[in-house]
Amino acid sequence: MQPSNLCTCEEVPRGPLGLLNSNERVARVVVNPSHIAKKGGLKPGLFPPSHIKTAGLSLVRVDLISLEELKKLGNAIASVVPVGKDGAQPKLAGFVTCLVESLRKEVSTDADHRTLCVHDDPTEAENDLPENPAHAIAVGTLVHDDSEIERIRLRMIDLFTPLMQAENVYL
Amino acid sequence: MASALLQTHPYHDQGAPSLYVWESVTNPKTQSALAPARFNLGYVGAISALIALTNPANAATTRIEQPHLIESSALRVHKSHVLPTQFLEAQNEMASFGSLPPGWDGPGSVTPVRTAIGDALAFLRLLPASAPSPEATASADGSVGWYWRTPKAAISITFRSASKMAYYGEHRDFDAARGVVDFDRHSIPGDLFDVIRFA
Repeated sequence: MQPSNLCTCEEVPRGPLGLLNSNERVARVVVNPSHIAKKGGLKPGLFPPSHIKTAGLSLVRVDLISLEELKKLGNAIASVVPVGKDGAQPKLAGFVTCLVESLRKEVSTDADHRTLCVHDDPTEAENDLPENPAHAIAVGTLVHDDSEIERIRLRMIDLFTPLMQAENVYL
Repeated sequence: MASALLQTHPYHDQGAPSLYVWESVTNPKTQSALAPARFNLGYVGAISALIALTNPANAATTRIEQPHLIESSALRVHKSHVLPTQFLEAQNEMASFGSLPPGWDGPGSVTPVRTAIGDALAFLRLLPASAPSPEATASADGSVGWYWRTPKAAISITFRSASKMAYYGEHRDFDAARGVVDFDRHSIPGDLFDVIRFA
């Protein structure tokens, strides 16, 4: 796939919210605070290699849902996390966001092809999670070499915003 | 057996990546045999035991009925395999990932793979004291790794099951280091070593 082209997977909508626009934002839900580096900033662990490579990295189309819906979704995800040794339910760490365009502009080291597809991926209600029509994924355009996945993870740290709370996503 | 700093790539034929080899402190098989005793040596000992116990190559050779070896090797670990103090925090955080429960990072997340944690801890012990300390990182898919971000470099290394290590490192003074290798717990690819050492 050439850098300027959309992939065919990005040209077919899968849910009622339609295709992702390159100028809309997607968010990654940060469940565990261990993904934040001691000096601030994100760690690569927020972006699991196998999700980027094949399974798809879960994202939320924050510009198409309300603050309340984002909070509800985040809290639902956090509620799945087992209680800690103190018996308390861990709280959601927050959210990081990124322009779809930034992810779609990511190209291979030789600038020969795009490295990530980003498309909508609405999900049904499952276990304790509500349905999420605003779900999207980013996934490798090819079966990348694992070292390329590491490079992409480093790039994602640069492309996503610092951690913020839901209210700040909509400022 | 003292740790001796590096011989520059003794293996450099037929296009193989150059390797820096740091002399191992103890025989891995002996380490494995002595693993339970090291828990008596406190947290450092427990980390050593975790490294040994999670090494698949040692799994079939575990023997714990030789107390004379237990004593001598445990002491050797303390004398010659002291982790630089700036790495202790990273080491402890990495070791703590083993107690994360399933679901720790949301739906579908799994406990980090124990052998991967052992590989990551063994890797840390191969670094020279002059290297900056990395951040420990864990992912929902069970992988773990080390991460550096400095004004000069950005480096990510991931360990998964089957002793595989994938890495990518950028440095303003070097070509990018990248590769996927079988990690033997005794050596670091030369290009990766350089970007870490001068990060």
